[in-house]
Amino acid sequence: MGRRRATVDHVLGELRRRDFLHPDVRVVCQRLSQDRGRPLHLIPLPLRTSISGAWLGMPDADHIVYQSVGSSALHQIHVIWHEIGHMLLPGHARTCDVDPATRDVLMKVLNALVPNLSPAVLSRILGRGGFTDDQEVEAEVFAGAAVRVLGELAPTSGHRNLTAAEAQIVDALARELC
Amino acid sequence: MLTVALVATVVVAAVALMLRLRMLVRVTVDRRPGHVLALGFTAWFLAVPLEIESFAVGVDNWAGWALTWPLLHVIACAGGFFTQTFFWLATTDPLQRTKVAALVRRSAVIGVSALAVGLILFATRPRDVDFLSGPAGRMASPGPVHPLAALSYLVIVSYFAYTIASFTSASWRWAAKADLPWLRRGLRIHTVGCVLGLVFCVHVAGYQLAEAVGITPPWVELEADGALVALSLLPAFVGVTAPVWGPCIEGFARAARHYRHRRRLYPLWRQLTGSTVTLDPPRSEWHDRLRLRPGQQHALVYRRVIELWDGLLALHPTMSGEVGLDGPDLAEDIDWWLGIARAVRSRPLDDVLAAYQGQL
Repeated sequence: MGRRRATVDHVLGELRRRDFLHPDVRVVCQRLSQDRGRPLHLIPLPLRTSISGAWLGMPDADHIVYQSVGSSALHQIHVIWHEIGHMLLPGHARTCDVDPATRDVLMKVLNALVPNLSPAVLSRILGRGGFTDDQEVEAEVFAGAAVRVLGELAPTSGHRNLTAAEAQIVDALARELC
Repeated sequence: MLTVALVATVVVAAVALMLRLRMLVRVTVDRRPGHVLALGFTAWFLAVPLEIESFAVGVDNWAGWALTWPLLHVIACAGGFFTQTFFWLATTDPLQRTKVAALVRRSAVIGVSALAVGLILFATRPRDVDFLSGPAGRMASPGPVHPLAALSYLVIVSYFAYTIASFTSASWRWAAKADLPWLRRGLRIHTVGCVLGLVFCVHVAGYQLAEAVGITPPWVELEADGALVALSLLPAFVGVTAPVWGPCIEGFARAARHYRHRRRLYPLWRQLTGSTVTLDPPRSEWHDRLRLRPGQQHALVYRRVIELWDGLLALHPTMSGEVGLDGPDLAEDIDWWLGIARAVRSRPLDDVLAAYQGQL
């Protein structure tokens, strides 16, 4: 668990260092997309499958499909971060981890979005449906840690009704007195 | 009673000093203001015991002369000077450091001069009853004090009041501006202490002047001074350390709330996650109950909520109610699930979910 946590913290630290973290996960996806040089699409869908989200890796784009009904914004964001975890965590290199029925459902979904898509071009498909192996657990730990970090970021990212100099002094006072 | 209040002030001062020293170890960027405030805290911590009559008498007996009087006033003025310097350093634009240095130099010169005058006056009458054990000594011979003794009090207390007025103003101003809750609350409490410190100075000066013109106030100066010292220093220390302890208390309260919510959601979690794989699940209800570490509570209740949603979607994949990605709120999710948990006590889970679906 400690090593897994260290990996997760390292990846999150890198995201923070490179200023990729943002309370809005859509902004994070935009930044990741620019960095990876390929589009990253978020696709909300009423998934009626055994999974609540999936990362569909294609040769020229990534798609993150997530459950859009029957849960909350928090859960959806958690699911998206889980899939981002698969994209960023080292060693998450499996090509497919979903059952054939789910894969068929996802292919139908993708075909609706990208007509005439051949299953052969789908290079990677990882779904969030259970935490039975190390990669799933690691992605889940990553998602929880990311949402927590963003929760910590949120209060200070709001508008401050102070001038830059005043904000600097308030922060310095807080730093000195803490 | 007064002694108890002063002893309590010494204890609070000691805790504040410890927090300050801990901060000095932790902060590695620009330690100068932190060092200065630590010196201020040390001075206040050393000054308060000298206000306790029995302690002051003990020191004087040990020294064989009225050592308490000069010692107390030098230490108190140093406390005022260092606290004043801290607020100047911490609340001035770093580009104006030259101006701050000039202010600090001026205050130091005034302080040293005031102390020099006060101590010279003291040296002319070191055995004067007014200097023996401070105001307590005066109780031995009530009535007007010797003019030199009164003047020495006035000179030193004037400087002391000047330093307090200076950081009261800074504390008040930045309490109004601070947008960090515990910094704002702390500075407000600190300001209250500072204002009472000013009242102390006014009282000391007023008492001397009243006695000089032949009016003896109908209360004992020692008791009023001691009470004001305790009343000013307690909120001052409590306030200035609030950014340290405030978030801790808030964190404990939040952890307790999260623990309570997680426990209330346990039966529902058991019902909903029977068929799904969970992450690091509790081995038993007692195991769940005994996960007590405050630092873990947020992660545990967050995990419980996510697993409740996972369980719900696994058991009822046809749930409706579309939501967007805006405004994720753990507290809102917890409330929603607590509502479900309450309703499930009297109705079957499926009925409750059917009634609730799409409402979040």
